[in-house]
Amino acid sequence: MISADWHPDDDRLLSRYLDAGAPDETLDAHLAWCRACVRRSTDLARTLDAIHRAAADEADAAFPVETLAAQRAAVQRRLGAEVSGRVLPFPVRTQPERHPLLTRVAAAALLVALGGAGAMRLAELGRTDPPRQPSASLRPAQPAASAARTQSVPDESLFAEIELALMAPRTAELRALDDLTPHVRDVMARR
Amino acid sequence: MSGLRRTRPQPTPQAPPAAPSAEVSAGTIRRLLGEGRLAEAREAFDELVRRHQRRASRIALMYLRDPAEADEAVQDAFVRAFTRLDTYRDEHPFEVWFTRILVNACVDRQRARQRRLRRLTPLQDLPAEPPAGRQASPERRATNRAWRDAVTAAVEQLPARQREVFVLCHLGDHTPRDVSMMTGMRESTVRVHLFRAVHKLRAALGAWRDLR
Repeated sequence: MISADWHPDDDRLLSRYLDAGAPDETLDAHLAWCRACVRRSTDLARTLDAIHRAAADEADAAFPVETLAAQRAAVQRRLGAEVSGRVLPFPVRTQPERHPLLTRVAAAALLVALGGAGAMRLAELGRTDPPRQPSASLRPAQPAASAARTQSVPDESLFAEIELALMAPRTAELRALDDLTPHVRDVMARR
Repeated sequence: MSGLRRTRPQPTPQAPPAAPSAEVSAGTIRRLLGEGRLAEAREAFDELVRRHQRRASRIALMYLRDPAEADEAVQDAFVRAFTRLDTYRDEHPFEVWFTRILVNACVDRQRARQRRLRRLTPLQDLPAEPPAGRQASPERRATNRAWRDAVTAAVEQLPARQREVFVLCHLGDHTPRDVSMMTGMRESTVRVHLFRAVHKLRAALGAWRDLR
């Protein structure tokens, strides 16, 4: 039951304005006799209509009929390009495109790797050669030589572990760079 | 008491003539596309563009405040709508679905512009003359121009959510229910934003009460 001194708030009037056609019997019954609320409602509607007209006029000034026609034509053109872009196959490259600087860097890395591999090979050959016979005064004591030979085995395993650790990239970002870099083991395997 | 309710959309003097095949629907175009009748689909879509482009341009202009950018945003939205028409479902009106795409296009452009400029974009100086065909005295034209500027400035002063809801609901002629579907907000939330926006606008534009 609505009391006689009840008056709708602005939000209720706004809802009625916005929901054109939606029934609000209570409000309609009230507006049938309350002239003050009719004035409020009319004022609200006038303000909103004026705002709407102002915005519409501004947009219409910015988008005259010619502009709208050009807009439709542009949409059609873009649709044509979009659709043909979908149908045509992706352009196929006959040769992989590579930046010349990248090629040079890769070649330099390969040379360094080959040089390093060659140096290591020479060093290993040098170690396996029969030892020269030095003079008796310069010949080292036998226990010291055997100690050095036994120490080289753990050193090699340590280096292998380091290389293995270095081979695995630490971050995903470096993985692509790592793939581009030739590895010593690959180069050696190809030889 | 019908004057207390809004009675839009109203044809504007500059509106293009109604197309004879205006009954074309998004569902029809989707079917044509499914059957591979591309040329017919594009032709039918042109009618859909004609029907919705003015309202879309108004909304985009209120978002972007730059006619050129608004034009491009509208184009983007129509192209995107056509290419994604297979995702459109008939349970919502095309206009609701399309306006969501348009709003996203406008927001994308706004963000891109903010990234570019890192500062507020000055208001675009739109043509000062009212639409052709309206005879008005210079004083009246100046008053109209100032009123439009005041409305624009007042709408721009609204918080983002309130502005979005107000533009879509009042200037885009959508119901709060439609705006709820477009924005993902609850209808009650839409109404709250709308009420607050209207209160602020009335307060900001109160000085114009006697001048209009």
